[in-house]
Amino acid sequence: MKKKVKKKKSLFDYKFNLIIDKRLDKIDINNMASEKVAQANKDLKGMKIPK
Amino acid sequence: MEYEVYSDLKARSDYQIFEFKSIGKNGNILKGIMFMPTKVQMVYNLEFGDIDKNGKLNYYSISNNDDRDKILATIVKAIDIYTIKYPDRLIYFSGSTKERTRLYRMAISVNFEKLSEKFEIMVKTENELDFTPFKKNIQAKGFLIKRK
Repeated sequence: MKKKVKKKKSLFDYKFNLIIDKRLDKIDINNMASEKVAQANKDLKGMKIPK
Repeated sequence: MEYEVYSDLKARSDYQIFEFKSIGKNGNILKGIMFMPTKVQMVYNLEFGDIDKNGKLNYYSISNNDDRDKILATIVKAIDIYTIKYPDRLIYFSGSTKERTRLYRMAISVNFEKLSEKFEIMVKTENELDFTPFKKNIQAKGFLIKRK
């Protein structure tokens, strides 16, 4: 008897609907989030960035 | 990894912002993923949180919507889409709290094999000026992702 194998989906197998939303183009991103960028800049200061 | 993802993603045309709805026991909560330029050339900071009524990203909110893994998988999906469009850009991220940074480390550890197929994952550790390759149980302060 042939064994039925159910293929499990992995992280990158899922299909998705990507909608480009023009409303998001009008958002001032700097106003939306700035606190974390400041923290990231602090974290990255002096770090050697891999090529 | 067999997590579900939120498959309906909205994006800005330059992919700098992604939006999706978390659906769970506490209702529908609008979530945002952003890729913000840093002062370091080609390094972009990944930011994630709830989008509040003023349109601001709230990094510290706790939704308790019982969909943590689904959300993490959706963030990975957004990174995948973003780095397909911008393969030379590096993505830096850290948790808004130490606990969240630890959660991200654990999630990467569990899915490292699968993630490594597409991404090189490096870690910023305390007081080190070099990023080091990701290892399980490494004390991470932040993460740097590069598409292979």
